[in-house]
Amino acid sequence: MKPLIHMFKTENNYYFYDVNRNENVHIDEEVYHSLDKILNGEIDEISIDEKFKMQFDELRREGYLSTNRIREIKHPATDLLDTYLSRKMKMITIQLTQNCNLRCEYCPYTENNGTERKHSNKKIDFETIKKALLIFRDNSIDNDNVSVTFYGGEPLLEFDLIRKTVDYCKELFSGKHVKFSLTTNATLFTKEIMEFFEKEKFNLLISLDGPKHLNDKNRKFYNSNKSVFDKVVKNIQVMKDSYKSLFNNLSLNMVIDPTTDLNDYLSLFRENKILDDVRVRTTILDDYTEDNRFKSLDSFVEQYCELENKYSSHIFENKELTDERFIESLFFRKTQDLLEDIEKTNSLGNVGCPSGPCVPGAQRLFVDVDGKFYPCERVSESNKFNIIGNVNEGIMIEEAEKILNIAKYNSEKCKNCFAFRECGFCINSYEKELDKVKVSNQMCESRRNTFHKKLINLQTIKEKKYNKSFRG
Amino acid sequence: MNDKRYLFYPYSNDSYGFIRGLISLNIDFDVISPDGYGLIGKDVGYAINGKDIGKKVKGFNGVNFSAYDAIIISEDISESNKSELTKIIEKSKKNNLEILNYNDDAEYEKELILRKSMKRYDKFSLPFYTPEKLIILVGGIVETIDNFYVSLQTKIGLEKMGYRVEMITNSNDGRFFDCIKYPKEFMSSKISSEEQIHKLNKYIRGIEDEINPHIIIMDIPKGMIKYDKYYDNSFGMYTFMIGQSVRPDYLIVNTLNNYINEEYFNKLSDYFEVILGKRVDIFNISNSFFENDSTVKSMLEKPMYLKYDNLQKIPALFEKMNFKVECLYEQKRVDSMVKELIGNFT
Repeated sequence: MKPLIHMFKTENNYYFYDVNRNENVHIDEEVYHSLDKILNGEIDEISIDEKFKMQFDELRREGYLSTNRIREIKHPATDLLDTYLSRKMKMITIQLTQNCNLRCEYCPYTENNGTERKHSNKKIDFETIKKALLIFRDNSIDNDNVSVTFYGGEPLLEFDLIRKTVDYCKELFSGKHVKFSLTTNATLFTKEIMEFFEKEKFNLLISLDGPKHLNDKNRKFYNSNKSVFDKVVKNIQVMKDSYKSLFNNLSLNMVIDPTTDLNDYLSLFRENKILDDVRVRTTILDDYTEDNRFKSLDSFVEQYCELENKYSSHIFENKELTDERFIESLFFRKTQDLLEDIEKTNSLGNVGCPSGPCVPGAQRLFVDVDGKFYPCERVSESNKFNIIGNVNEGIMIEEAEKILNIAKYNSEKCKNCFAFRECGFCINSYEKELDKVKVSNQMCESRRNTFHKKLINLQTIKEKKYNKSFRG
Repeated sequence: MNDKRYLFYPYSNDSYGFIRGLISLNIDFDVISPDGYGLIGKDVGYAINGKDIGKKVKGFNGVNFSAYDAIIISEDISESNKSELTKIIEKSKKNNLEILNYNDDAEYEKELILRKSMKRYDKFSLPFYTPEKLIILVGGIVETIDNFYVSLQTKIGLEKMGYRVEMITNSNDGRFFDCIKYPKEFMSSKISSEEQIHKLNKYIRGIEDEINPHIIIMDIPKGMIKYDKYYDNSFGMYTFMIGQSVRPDYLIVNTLNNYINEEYFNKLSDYFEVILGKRVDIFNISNSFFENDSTVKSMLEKPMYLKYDNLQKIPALFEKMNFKVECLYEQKRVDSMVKELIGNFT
C-alpha cells in the first residue's frame, strides 16, 4: 500500500504532507519526483535508486511515510451521542414561517428542482414551539447558557409569535441565561419591534448584499419594485439613533454575487458611515442553479485574488490596508486558519472521522413549522434523511448517529484522502437520493484543492519568515 | 443543626457536592430548582447523571415552606434567578424560616480572627512560614463539582474519626460546613501574585496558631493545569501559587473522563511533583467529560456528565500501578480512602 501523503511545492521548495503525522516535510527535488512517481504508480519503490531507498528508510525511521489509514469511520462523539443529546443541547432555531416578503434571486426556496422546500404560507403554531422548547430545556441540563434563534422565511412576519415565545422562554428557562437571536431581511421593522428586541437584548443578523445597486439586483420585494436597500438602511439608521444597544448587537450578513464587480462592494462602507461599527460577515454565492446564473466571472476571481494578496500583505508584511472591514470579512477565517497552523500528531489511528460534522442536535437543533427536527437550518427540509426527530417523539438517536457518521457513506474515498483531517464536510455537503448518499466528486476535488493551496500557503509563510529552505 | 429540616436553593449540578455533605451528616433537607434547570421532578442525582439518591428536586410552587426550619441560599444566584429568589425569601420570612444566605462575600467570624493574625504577622515582618500540620490538597484538572465534593467528604470522614479539620475553599457555601474561604487577597486582580502567595502563607499560619486543627484541607480553585490550545483553564496558576505557599503532604487530583491511562497519570504526577513538590496520591475519576480541542467556546464552558455506572470498573484496572485510582462517588469508597489516608500518617 502506498504511503498516505500528498506532494506539493512552493516557489522554491519541495514538500510532502504526511497525513498520519499531520505535518509538512521538506525534501529535495529528486526525492520529491521519486515519491511523486511512486504515488502515481509510475514506478515501484523496489526499482528506485538505492540512494532514494536510503532516504525513504530514514524518513520511515523518523515516523513518516506511514501507509496507515483509518479502518473504521466513527466520529469521536458517537459513543456519547445519547448523553450529548440528553444533556448538552446548546441552541435551538425555530422556523416561525416558510413565508417571506422578499423573493431573492439566489434564494433556494424561490426556485429549485425539488431539492429544497418552496416558499409557502405555512407557519408554526405555538403549541409546537412549546413542545420543542420543552425538549430543548430538558436536554440542556449541562449548559448554563442556551440560545434561542428565530428563523424563517422572514421571521418578522410572525412578530406576535416571537413575543409569545420570548415570554414563554422566560418562564420555562427561569434561572438560566437565554440568548435570543434573529436572522432577518430587516424590511419589516417597526419601532415597537425594535423596542421589544432591545428590551430582550436580541442579537440581530441582518442581510444586506452590498451597496444599493448590488443589493437590489438580487434582493427584491415579492410584490413591489421598491428598493430593499433603502428600507433596510433606513431601519438601521433608526436603530442607531434610538435603540443603541440593539444596534450594538447587530451584525450584517452579506452575500457576494460573483457575477459582479467585487470592488463595488467597497462603496457600501465608504458611503454609509452608519455601518462603521457594525460587524460584517460575507459569503460568496455558490452557483447551484441549473442555468449557471451565478457562475463566477473571471474578472471577479481576479479581483478576489488581488484583494486576498492585499490582505495577506497587510497581515504578514504589515502593509497598510484601506477598506479593511470588508476585505477582512472575506479572508479572516482563512487567514486565522493559516496562522493557527496544523498540529503535529503521531498517527491517524485506526478509528476516526473526517473533520466536519458537528454533533447534530447538540450544537444546533432546528425545528421546522411542522415540528420536525433537523441538525441545522441549512439542510434541506425536503429530504427525509435529514430529519433527526420531532416534537412528539423527541430526538431519534439512530437518525442523529447516521448524520454524525455521514462519512461512512463515502468511506473508501475518505479513508484514502489526504484532506481527511481538513475535510469540513457535514450532512449538508452530501447528496441524498434514494439509497445513494455521497459527496459529489466535484465538491471533494474542490475541497482537496483548497487544502492543497493551504499547505502551499503555510509553507510559503514559513519560508518568508525564515528566508531560507529548511525542513518542516 | 442536625435536627433542623432544611431547604436548599437553587439546586444544580454545581451544588451536588453540598447535598452529599448534608446526606453524610444525616441532615434532613429538600432542594428547589428554578424551572429552567430542567431538574424539577427528577432525582437529585440526575443533576450529575449519577445514581438516584431517593430525593426529588422540587419547584418553588411545589414546596410547603411551613414544613421547614431553615433555608440555605447558595452562592449560585445569578440575574436569571433573582426574581424567584425574592419570592423565596419572602415566603421563607413569612413562614419564619431561618435564612442562611451564602450569597455574599463578607468575612465570617473565623476569617476575621485570621485577618487579625495576618495583621500581626505583618506588623512583626515575620518570614515565610513552613506549616506544621498535615496539609491535604484536593484539586481538579478542570474545575468541576468533584473538588468541593471530595474535599468536603474527606473533611467529614476525618472529623468522624475524631480529627479536627479545617477546610479552605473558594465556595461560600462551604461555610455551612464550617469551612473557611481563601483570604480575599488570594485570586484578587488588584494584588500581585507574590503578595497573594505571602497572604495565603500567613493565613495558613494563622489557622495553625488560632484554630489549631490536626489537618488542613485545601480545595484548589480553578483548573490545575492548562487544558489544551483553546482552553487555558487558568493555566493552573492558583495551583502553582498554593504550592508556593505550602507544600502538601497528600494530593488528590480529580480527573476528567477524557483521559484515563497510565501514561497520562504518570505525566501528571511528574508535573505536580515539580509544581507542588508532591506526586499525586489519588486520582479520582470523575464522570465529567470535557471537549478536547474545541474551538466552540460554548462546548468548553462546563463539563458534560456521563453516566456514573461506567466508572466503577476503572480503579481495578490500575491496581498494579504505582498510584491509586479511585472512584470516590461511592460513600464506601470515600470512607475507605479516608481510613487509608490517615493510616499513612499515624
